[in-house]
Amino acid sequence: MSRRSRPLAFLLKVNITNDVKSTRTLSALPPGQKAVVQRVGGPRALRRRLMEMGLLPGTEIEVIRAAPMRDPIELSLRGYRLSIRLAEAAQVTLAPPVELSSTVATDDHALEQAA
Amino acid sequence: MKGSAAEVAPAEEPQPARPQVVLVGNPNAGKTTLYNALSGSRARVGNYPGITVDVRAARANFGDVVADLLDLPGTYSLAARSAEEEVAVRVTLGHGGEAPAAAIVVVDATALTRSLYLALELLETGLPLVIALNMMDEVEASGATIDSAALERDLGVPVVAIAASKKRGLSALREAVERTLSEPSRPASPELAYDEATQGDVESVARAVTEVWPEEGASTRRSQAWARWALLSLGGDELTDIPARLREVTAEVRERAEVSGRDLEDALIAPRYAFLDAITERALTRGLPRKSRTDRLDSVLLHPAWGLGAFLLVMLVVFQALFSWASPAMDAIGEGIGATQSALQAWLPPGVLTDLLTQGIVGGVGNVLVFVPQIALLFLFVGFLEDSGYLARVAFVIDRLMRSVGLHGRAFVPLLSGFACAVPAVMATRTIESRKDRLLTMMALPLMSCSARLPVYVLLISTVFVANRAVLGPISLGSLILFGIYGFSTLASLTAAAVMRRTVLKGERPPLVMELPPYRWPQLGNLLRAVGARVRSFLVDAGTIILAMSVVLWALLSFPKDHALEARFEAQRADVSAAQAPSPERTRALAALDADEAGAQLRASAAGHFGRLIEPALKPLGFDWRVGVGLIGAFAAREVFVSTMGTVFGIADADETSAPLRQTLTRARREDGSLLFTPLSGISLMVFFVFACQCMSTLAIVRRESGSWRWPALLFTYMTGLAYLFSLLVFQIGRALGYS
Ligand SMILES: Nc1nc2c(ncn2[C@@H]2O[C@H](COP(=O)(O)OP(=O)(O)OP(=O)(O)O)[C@@H](O)[C@H]2O)c(=O)[nH]1
Repeated sequence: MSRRSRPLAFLLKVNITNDVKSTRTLSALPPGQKAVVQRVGGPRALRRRLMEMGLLPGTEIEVIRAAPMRDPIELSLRGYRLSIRLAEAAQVTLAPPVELSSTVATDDHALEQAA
Repeated sequence: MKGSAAEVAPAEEPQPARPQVVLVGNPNAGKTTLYNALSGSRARVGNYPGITVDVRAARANFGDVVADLLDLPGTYSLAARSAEEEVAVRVTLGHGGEAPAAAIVVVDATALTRSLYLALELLETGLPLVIALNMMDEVEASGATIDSAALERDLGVPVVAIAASKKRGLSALREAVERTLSEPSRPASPELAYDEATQGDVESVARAVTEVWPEEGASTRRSQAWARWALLSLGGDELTDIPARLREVTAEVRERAEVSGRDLEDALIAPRYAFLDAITERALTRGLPRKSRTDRLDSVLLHPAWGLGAFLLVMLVVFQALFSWASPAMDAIGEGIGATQSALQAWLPPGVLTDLLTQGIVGGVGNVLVFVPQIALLFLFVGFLEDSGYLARVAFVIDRLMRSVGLHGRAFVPLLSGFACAVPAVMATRTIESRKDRLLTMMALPLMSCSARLPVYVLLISTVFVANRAVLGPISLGSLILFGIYGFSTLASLTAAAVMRRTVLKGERPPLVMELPPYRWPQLGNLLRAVGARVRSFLVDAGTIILAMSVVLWALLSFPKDHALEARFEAQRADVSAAQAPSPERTRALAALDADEAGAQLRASAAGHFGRLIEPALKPLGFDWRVGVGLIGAFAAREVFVSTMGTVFGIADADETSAPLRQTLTRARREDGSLLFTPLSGISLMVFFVFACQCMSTLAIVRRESGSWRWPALLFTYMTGLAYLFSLLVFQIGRALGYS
């Protein structure tokens, strides 16, 4: 999947895959792609809510689709579906994909490996 | 403590206290289904004073033990920000009241880790638990297996695999609960790896907990669980019953953590998930990944194009049902009330008491009952949409639009229902989670033009315009105006929401973090029970207010009676009867006299006087006192405006299509001799109806759902204020432009 994101990154002139320090957020993750959460930001209420619903650093998530009006988006994590708005997704920082490739991509391993 | 669990389930007869078992679980985990399956009997719905938290209670048997089963609203965690969530937590943990003997945690086994989070939080408090692994049929169908014995070992509490909707595993569950109830022991504490600094924070707060709530300090484990709760919940919350001391200490500790760069949310939540990940890893064997039914349905129902189409279709059906499928039942209720009234009138001696009974009370009961068909239908649909999982998709699809005016995606169904009737629509706001969002929706939706306004618009349009004049091809002037009014009212409602979001209901907009549950077939029994509960709660809580207001309104419109007037009409009737032999003509003449008398009496009534009193205020809008009386009458229900105008102008049995009423209105003149109903004053009056809160039932239901008179008072003030302002503008600008 990281192969698929490369041409897009090239077009946007944003080097996503190689620069470990560049921050990718969940709002920019295209449908069909998976990534591992690095940090959950934003107001306390939002962070608590997201983390209590299992979206926390180390969790692997996949963007399933965007709503017909492009916002909110539907995510798949820990075997269930969650929808959040793009504004909230922008508060979720993703781990660089390099790390993902070294991670066994199952829900349960993701946390242990990242932790 | 306000509203302890004991108040929720008042004992029906004195007897040894039954143990309490609370049912907790995530939304859509199947709690209601399990509750119905376990209790089997009729459930009572309790309600906390001031807050709309439904806590249902029923008796249930667990082996030989009879217990009170309490069903709380679904939640993902114990942490609370709103007063409602606080109540739920307090009942669950028995804070300040009697602690429940046990809790059954309903866990959605298809989302195992996330659902176990709540169970783990409860386990940390030391409450005796039984975990019901629900939806096992779906787990098996997906090819996965869950080793409940492994979970049981890791969690130290009974874990029972069930399928509530298939009534599978219930006897094992009952046995497990019975065992827990009969040998009360605290489950072992799970080994969670909180880091040292965090543990220090928790201990500091736990000391404050013990200080302010001595009973929670009984065990270190419990006080620490409350400390973790406080650290996650307090600060920027809307909780009402938290001692200042606890707030202070919690804020201090949080600040200390912040300064040293520690993230308390992460430090408290991550170890729980690490533990859960480890135990689900041992217990869960996944099936082969394959496209589920939900995925297949969603690829159509949430498709960029088909998804919108499906959405519109579903909403159209709901709308159509409310608008027209309910009307046969509503008509039947109206006829039944009419028949009861005439039967009583024929049977009882004429007099004030008979009038009170027939017009006031039976009429008032009718005012309450007419709402039942729409409420029942709306909740049947809402229940179906919610239990099937589509309601969350409605919010998902429409959130983008709704958000632009500050409303939650879930506000869409209530707003749409507002076109039919504000009363069921206000009740439907319960599907919205946050209280602020709910209030905002409640306050904005009465501006949607409901079906009771339609007769008023029809009467006025046909009075002041040539309604069936074709203007745009087949489109008539009347339907064009009507369309304009509906558009205008929708705009008004959305604008009001946007304005209130920035003023009276200001505040951080709650984020949308919403589960999209798998599609599931709703249980008909659950739906019918929910409809029954809603109808009952409407009849009891709002119905009584509506009935009382109906009687008061009837009295205002009927008293004081002018006896001289009565005698004069009696004499005229006697004259007519004496002068003519019985003939259709004589009957007509008598009926005309009756109608005239009703008009004269109405003018002499308190409402008539009040109409005259407010006439100076109505004149700048283009209305006179007779319209004022109509507006007072319309407070019972807007369509009553039409029949009240009939009475004022001495037309019997008028409805919005009756030609005599229309003709009389067209000819009616003000005291200065000018025409009362001109296109300008007609538009002004329609604009008044678009905005004005001419509906006591709406006020009664907002009172019921918001829990205080403050919100209906605000609703009435702002709507009537807007109505006055806009009518004034329309009439005065129109006049200035040379219209009359
Ligand atoms: N397949 C399956 N479906 C179930 C089971 N239990 C409940 N359901 C369905 O799941 C949906 C949600 O069930 P509810 O009982 O309404 O869930 P709830 O937890 O009360 O939801 P809230 O009222 O939102 O808290 C309904 O459509 C049920 O028919 C089960 O064991 N198996």
